[in-house]
Amino acid sequence: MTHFPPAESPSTQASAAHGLLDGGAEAIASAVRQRQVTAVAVAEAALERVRSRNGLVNAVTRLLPERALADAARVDALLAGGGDPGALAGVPFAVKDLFDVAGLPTTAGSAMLEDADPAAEDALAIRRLNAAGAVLVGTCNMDEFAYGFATVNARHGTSRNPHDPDRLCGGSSGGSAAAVAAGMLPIALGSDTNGSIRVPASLCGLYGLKPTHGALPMEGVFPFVDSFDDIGPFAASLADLRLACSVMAGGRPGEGGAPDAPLRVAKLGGWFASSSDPDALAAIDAIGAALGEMPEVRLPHVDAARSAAFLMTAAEGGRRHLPELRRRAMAFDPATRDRLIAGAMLPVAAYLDAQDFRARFFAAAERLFVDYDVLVAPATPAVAPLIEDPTILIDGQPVSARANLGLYTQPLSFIGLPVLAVPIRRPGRLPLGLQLIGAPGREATLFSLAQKLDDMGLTGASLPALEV
Amino acid sequence: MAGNEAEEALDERTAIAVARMIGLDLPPACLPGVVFNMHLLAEHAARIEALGTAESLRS
Repeated sequence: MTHFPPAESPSTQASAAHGLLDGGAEAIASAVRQRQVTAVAVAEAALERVRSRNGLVNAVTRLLPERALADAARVDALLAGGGDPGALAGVPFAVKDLFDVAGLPTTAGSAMLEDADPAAEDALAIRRLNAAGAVLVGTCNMDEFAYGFATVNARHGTSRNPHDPDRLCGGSSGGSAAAVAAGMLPIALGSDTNGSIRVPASLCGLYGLKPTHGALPMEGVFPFVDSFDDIGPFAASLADLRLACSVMAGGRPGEGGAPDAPLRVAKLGGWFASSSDPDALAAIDAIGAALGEMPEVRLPHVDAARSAAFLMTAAEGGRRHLPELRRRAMAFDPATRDRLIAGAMLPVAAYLDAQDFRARFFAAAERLFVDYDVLVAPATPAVAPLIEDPTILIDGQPVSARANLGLYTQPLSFIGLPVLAVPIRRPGRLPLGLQLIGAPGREATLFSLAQKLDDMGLTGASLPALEV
Repeated sequence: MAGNEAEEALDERTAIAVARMIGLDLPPACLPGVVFNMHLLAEHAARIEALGTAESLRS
């Protein structure tokens, strides 16, 4: 657990800026650009929020007050000189512990890398956000080397769900999700290989985007599985998520127009309808009723797709870490180490079979997108599990949450599809999310449907009211 | 030696031998976890192999 001591005397301006943090990124940027509040005041408020709330959720691992205040001062100076700092002027954000941050070692959640050479420059995604006026405030907890769905970390401890601190927040980008859901920051970045953005988004009640493979810049991001690693943001509103994506993409993908014609939407049945929380299926049916028509379609052999994702993950992850496993295997988190070793030992034929299957599974998915623009599926099979009893029910049987929270996410990211995780609107209850799945490059279509669902009152974030 | 114990011993020897082939001296503490995960990956591989490789998949 990482505790940050309180600031000695938070300024009056910073106290006044606290309310803006609850309004989200668009509201902050608007107020800063209109000089209703300074970027420094917003940064101070965000730093204070982290200091006061991180003890509850253990989301942030490294707080960067000097950098945050210096970056914020630059935004204010630019405005004072008549310049335009950009669409995210003064918006505080954080990043998962696997993004390069200039001057800090990139740990990827591993104690082994705490003494690594510091990064020479920020990851490209951070540079783009900074260039649009955003202010980096800290880095966030994760499963070691992004290999997990729980954010249980041997060095930093377990991140807790702001909706119920006795429960997991999901992983592996759980610290980033918990920071946003706890109201510390309006935007945080994560990475998603098998579901590491969509799982915590679902369990923490947030929006999160796993983009088309390669659509957002991986430069300066510690890799896990090159074949399907991607980065993306978390936010508590669709508008903030879209804004962050647009800036991270350099104003390119995801900002193309959605189709003018009515969206053709189908729900994924079979694998995606089995074992799910009944509330998620009811929410999907409600979407169908609201849209008027939403037939059920199926992808073939989804169980094999998940298996192929497991195999490629283990093999590529194991190969990446093999030099260090040879040198100091016992320095790894045991939960990560044994899976990486087994992956490194996987026969190449099994890896190639998985790759071959992936191409055929992708072709089957492409055929569905001839007839439909968006497919809808649950994001997780259950709400956030208890930390003390990390199991979920699959087919009525308790199974490990850590291994199975990605039941519905793995088969989709494995073929590189863009997936927008949206929270079912259910205030007062533990969060649960859905996946809106599109053809490669069709992020704008996903945002279009998500906006429609928001407008209908079917989706929307409900952040917990934290006292501190 | 009972059947299960013999199988477990064989699995462990196999894990140690395969690890050596990739230059890894498997620490004893890793053995149970590595063997467990080898079995898990073998099940996943068998699921894919059972589908064959030539045909296209039908929705």
